[in-house]
Amino acid sequence: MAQIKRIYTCIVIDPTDTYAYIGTKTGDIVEISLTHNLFKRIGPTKKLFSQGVNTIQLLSNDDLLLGAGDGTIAKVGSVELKLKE
Amino acid sequence: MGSVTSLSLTADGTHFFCGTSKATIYWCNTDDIAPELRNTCHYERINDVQFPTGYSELFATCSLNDIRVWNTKTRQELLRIEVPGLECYCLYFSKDGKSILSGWNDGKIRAFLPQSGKLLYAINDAHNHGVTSLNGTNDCQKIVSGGMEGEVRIWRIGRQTQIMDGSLKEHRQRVSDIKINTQDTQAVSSSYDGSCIIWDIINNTRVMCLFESTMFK
Repeated sequence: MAQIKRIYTCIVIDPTDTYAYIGTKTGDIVEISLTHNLFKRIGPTKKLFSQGVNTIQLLSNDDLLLGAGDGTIAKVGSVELKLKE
Repeated sequence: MGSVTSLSLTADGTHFFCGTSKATIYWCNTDDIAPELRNTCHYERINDVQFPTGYSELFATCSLNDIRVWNTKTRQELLRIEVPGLECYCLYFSKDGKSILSGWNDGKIRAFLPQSGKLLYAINDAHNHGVTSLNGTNDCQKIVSGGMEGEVRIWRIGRQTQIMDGSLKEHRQRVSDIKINTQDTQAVSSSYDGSCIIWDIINNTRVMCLFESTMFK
């Protein structure tokens, strides 16, 4: 994170209230631990979503479903924050 | 099409709706994300809505870039006539139902076939800064159009030709609407400058002028 400022566009909290996933205009997802108010990690590391993450939904199997600004819908696994499809 | 603006899951989480900035809604499966088109709409302002004469099963709307014909009962899009980069201001179904007339911001009047959406004819430079209102006579021989600059023009429509019968410049601002009487002898036009003028469209002269301190729209 450090020097980079991010503009957050959307947020989703997991059912156990421990983590929040935030989509940003730069096209990545930030994971925050709500119990410690700490930044945990950021992803996906290899490929960012172009034109920003506009919306996030949490699926029942803890995958993240997100819609990007270029019109793509992607599924991201919440354990490893990797792009699934 | 466009950017994804919202996602909404069903209660069991197996499917979801996806809304985009180009006013389309997709229905997807969460397993393999195969989008299926569910609903579409204009994504910019709609300038005009018209029904064909004596038939309410379908209607047409016009907006930026396109004209769409809709089924009234099922609310499905039946036809899309796309003219990229231009804006359609007004629409008119001819009384015989053989064409959809439309006025555009490039000053052209375009006539389309109502079933295929193909261009039937176009009147180039009908009005200088855009055609803002249109109406046709009951016998489909003439159309009367109003422009952005306030001019009202009468066109005779032949089989292959479109000839200007008369140009009448009395309004000072854009013409908002035109109606023709059932005998095809007179037309009334209203304008943003607050005047309504009744025209004799056989001799192309002014019959009467009505003023009011309002903006007719």
